[in-house]
Amino acid sequence: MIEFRNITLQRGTHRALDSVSLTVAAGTICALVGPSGAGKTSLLRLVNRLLIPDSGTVFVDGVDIATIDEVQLRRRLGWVVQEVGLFPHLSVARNIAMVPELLHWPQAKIDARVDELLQLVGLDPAQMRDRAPRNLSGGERQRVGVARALAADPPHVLMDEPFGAVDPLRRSELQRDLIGLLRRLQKTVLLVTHDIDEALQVADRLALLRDGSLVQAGPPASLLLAPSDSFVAAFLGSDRILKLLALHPAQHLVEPGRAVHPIATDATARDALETMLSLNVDEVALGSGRVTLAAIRAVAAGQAGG
Amino acid sequence: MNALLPPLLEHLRLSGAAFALSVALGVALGLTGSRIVTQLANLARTLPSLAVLALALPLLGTGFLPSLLALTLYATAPVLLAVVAGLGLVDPSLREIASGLGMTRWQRLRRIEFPLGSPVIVAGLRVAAIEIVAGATLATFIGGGGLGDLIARGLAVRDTQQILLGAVPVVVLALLLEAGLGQLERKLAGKLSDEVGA
Repeated sequence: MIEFRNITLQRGTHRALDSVSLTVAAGTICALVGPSGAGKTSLLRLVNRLLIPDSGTVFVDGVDIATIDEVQLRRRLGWVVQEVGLFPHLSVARNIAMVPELLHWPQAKIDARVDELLQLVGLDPAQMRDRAPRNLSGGERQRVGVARALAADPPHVLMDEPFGAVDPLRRSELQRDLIGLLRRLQKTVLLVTHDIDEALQVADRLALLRDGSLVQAGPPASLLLAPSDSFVAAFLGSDRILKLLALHPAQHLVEPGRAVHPIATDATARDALETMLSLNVDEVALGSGRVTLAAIRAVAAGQAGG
Repeated sequence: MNALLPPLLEHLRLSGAAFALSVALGVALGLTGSRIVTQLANLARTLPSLAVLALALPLLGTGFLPSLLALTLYATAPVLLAVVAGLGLVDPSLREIASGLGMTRWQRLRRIEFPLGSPVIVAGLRVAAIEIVAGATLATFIGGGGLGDLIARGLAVRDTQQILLGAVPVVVLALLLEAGLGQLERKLAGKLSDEVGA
């Protein structure tokens, strides 16, 4: 668990963060979103004490981080940044092995861990181990970056624009793979991104910052359904109801009955709506049941569970 | 050969000791990263080696130790400046990531900053080594011995052969250092920018 309590951070005359309180529950993914300069990265850096708040307290697993040794703290926090993060003079394996080496693991254990991690992040150990970072693609670098962050199995992972330097085509694949991995491993993740779609897709909770203040925090659906003000609504985009539908699996809306036009079982409510509009019908078939336009309307109005 | 060996060994002893001391001193001072230290080093770079030896004479007297001290002081500046320049080239974001991964300052220096700055640092070591080997020739004027003895004696009696007996080994030593450390420098730089990989 990571908790910010009443954090204020002054940078020169500028107030970078203004009484921010936020809790990231253990095993969940929280995305920090907001325009650039809103204080997202500053908030992230307070966790591993690259920044020190002027007032307020940061807790990691209930412990005030100001009271513990910063090196010990950092070894319990995985740290992933944009692609600049790999050490150019070290091979992929040595980059990943960095924290285990600092912890003086036996070499055999380190080697085994490196191979295990490369496999976890979807890279072939035999092929990747001895490569230099500069010879990797952007996506491969980011996978190695995540492997390095996970090397000593820290319970928490901090990610600063981890997919910012990856081309858009590979991006969603990388998001799915790496965030899926962190979810499987039940890491507590704090993710900074300026990409609202990325945040909506991967996070359990969003925290929207503006000019150093926390404007609204909550699960993606609750922000999409009920943005607290016009800034939040604008940031989420004019298509926020469609985004909301895209988060909702059509499976959850199935009711008994028959319909003519089938949709895929993993379709979202948005896909279902798309099909209905394009075929000019009010219901589509899914599995042995159907999804109706009325059900989709209910989701858009915030009346559906699931 | 008997005429050459003792002064040659003395020259090597003096140079080696001065090199070791100036590296230790230069690295230590370079790590402070202090601006005043850097400016003093820049100032020191403008002094001719003979002047440093001449200054050492009244202060420290004559012999091996004063020569060693003078050469050390003289060669510390290029080492120090190279350490400052080499570490200064390291991408600050890499430094921050190293800290973020939980490295102590010393671990960060040893594992990240020194290796990344190594081509520039080795270039400074090469300059220092060559200056020491050449400068040690002048130690003879304050009784420090070495190959300079042969040259000075040869000059005194206008014996070209004797001058060459002292001068040629100095040149050979300087060239060997230049070649050896130059190659190391290129190898390190190549390793950091090699497109084919490590």
